[in-house]
Amino acid sequence: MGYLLSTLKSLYATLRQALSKPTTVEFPKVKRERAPRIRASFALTKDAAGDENCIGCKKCEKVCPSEVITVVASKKPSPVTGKARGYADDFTLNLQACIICELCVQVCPTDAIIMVKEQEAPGFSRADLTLTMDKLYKNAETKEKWAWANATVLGEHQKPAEEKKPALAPKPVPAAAAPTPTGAPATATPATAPPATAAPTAPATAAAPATNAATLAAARSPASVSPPPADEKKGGA
Amino acid sequence: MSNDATYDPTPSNEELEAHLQTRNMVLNLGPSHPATHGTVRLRLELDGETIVKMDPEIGYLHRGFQKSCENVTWMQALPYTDRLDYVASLTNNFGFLSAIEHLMGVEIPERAQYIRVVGAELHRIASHLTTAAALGLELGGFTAFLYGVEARELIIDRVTELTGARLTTNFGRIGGLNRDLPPGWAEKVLKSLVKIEELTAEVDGLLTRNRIFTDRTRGTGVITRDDALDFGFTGPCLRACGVSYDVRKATPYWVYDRLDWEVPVGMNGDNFDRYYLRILEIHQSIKMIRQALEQLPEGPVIIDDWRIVLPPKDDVYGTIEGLIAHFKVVMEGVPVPPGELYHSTESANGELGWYLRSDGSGRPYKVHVRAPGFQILSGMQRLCEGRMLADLVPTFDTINMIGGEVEQ
Ligand code: SF4
Ligand code: SF4
Repeated sequence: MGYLLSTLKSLYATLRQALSKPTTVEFPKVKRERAPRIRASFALTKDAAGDENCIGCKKCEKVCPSEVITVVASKKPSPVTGKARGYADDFTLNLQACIICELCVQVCPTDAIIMVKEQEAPGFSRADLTLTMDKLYKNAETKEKWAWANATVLGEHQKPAEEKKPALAPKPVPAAAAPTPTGAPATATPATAPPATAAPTAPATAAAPATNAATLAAARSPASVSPPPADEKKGGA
Repeated sequence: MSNDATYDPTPSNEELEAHLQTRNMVLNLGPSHPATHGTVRLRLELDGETIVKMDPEIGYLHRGFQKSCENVTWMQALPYTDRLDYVASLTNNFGFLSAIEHLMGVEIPERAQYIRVVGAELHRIASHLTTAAALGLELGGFTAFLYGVEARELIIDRVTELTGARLTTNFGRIGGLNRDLPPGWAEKVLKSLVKIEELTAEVDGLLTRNRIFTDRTRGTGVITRDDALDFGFTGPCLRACGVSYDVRKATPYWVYDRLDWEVPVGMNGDNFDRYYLRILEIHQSIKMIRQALEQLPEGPVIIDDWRIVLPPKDDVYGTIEGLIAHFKVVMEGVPVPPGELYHSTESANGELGWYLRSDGSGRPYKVHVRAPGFQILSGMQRLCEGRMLADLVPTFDTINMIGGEVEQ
């Protein structure tokens, strides 16, 4: 009796599932939207004037746990301003051993290396998986619409919804506050803050140099920080 | 010649009933066998279908975790911890950070503690679902497995939204978290939890009262309470034997003592108890996440100490102190004071302990992990020897050995 009952129950579950909508999507035809914070590949950025952001400080090389970044640095006059400053003569990131931990992006002082959401296409040789300097700068153009994380954005993610911290002075926890448009995640009242309207601000970064221009001087301007587009519809699916 | 005359070719009774001389057969299960989660080789000595001797052999996933940690700074070691128990990486991340913070004497902000509880419990559910549903798969019930994976996928989606990666999360920093929750994330989690509850009930309904399933799991893979304690079992495997030991209750860390939850305890220490205990723990974890999200306070998610955390970007650009602090944290690492400590948190499989030793430089002098799976795997013989070969695979599932954490 027990066998029969449980078999019938399983059959019922199978039947119900067979008649309901599938939970999976057919991949090449339908592409699921990626999470706003997804980490996939890298790009190197230039500032608004077309000058390379990277100052060759080698912090990313130092912090990389897999030691896959190689920076050859030198000091030379900037082609734009004419002033001498540090540059990376060569910059390679070997994706084969990269563990996509994002530490390099987080430490970059000038927001030069950024994370992009689009993966590298699969290649036919090992060399295809080595991101050379050219490829990295090209990523910033071709994959710019996906770019979301530079060190400034990552720093913003740590902050409470509203803060203004005096330098060096540790301050007690700021009280609850309304979410600011800086992309610092709204914490307590996200239900009322319409994420749907926040989403269209993300493509603002698609205007390519906007993110890069924001690096040094205007690091804190709200435009530089795109709030991750909230994908509501995936919610309870 | 006279002998020939008396020779009788029909065998005598004694000869007919004599014991047939056989030898035990040695069978290798693994290293890559679909039923061995992770890569492990089980050397089995079989007498017919009965396991006479079992010898687990590890080493196929050894990556030198402990040694690698000695060559990098404390912060750089964090991504390595993702790869220990890769089914529940957030529990490893947070456990490691928690140990470092204890060594430094740093108290993390309350909001970060709550988010750590939410993250760790989410991943605990994911791990338990995988184990419980895969047990169905192991015993021929594929349907239940698919429900479990669907629920797990929901959790992984939420984790991706929070951390940016599906499995190798690398989330959290010394002194708190590297990111706050994304907007609207809490609501999404609550919505997902409803669905996860439904799907867990589906798995539960398909397996728990299924006659075939119970026949196969009850009374198999039994270990007594005393043996389990002797071998150093922790987590669901120990609780299934009737020992109510959970690090979250015994020595509460973060905010576990502020949440209302119970430790489910089994009785028989068999496969069924280990399976059902996990289903019960999923419900407890869901309860905890709901409470934690409700109580979630406002505030920062990381402490404000530039010796430990990276300074905010405008301070790096604008002040010389910020620039120097940034340089020092990146180049020299976080200054963990000299000393040693053992700190443990409850991971999905049991007590995940960290023995850390620092010599005051920015790098660990020694990192040792007490991975729960190692002790459990060593007690595996007691669960299997003298029992049927067919019960080995489900037993191996319910102890949930994760290769990555057993072999560091
Ligand atoms: S993301 Fe890759 S390149 Fe960057 S620090 Fe991590 S391993 Fe190195
Ligand atoms: S990418 Fe950033 S961290 Fe790396 S060398 Fe250039 S400026 Fe320094």
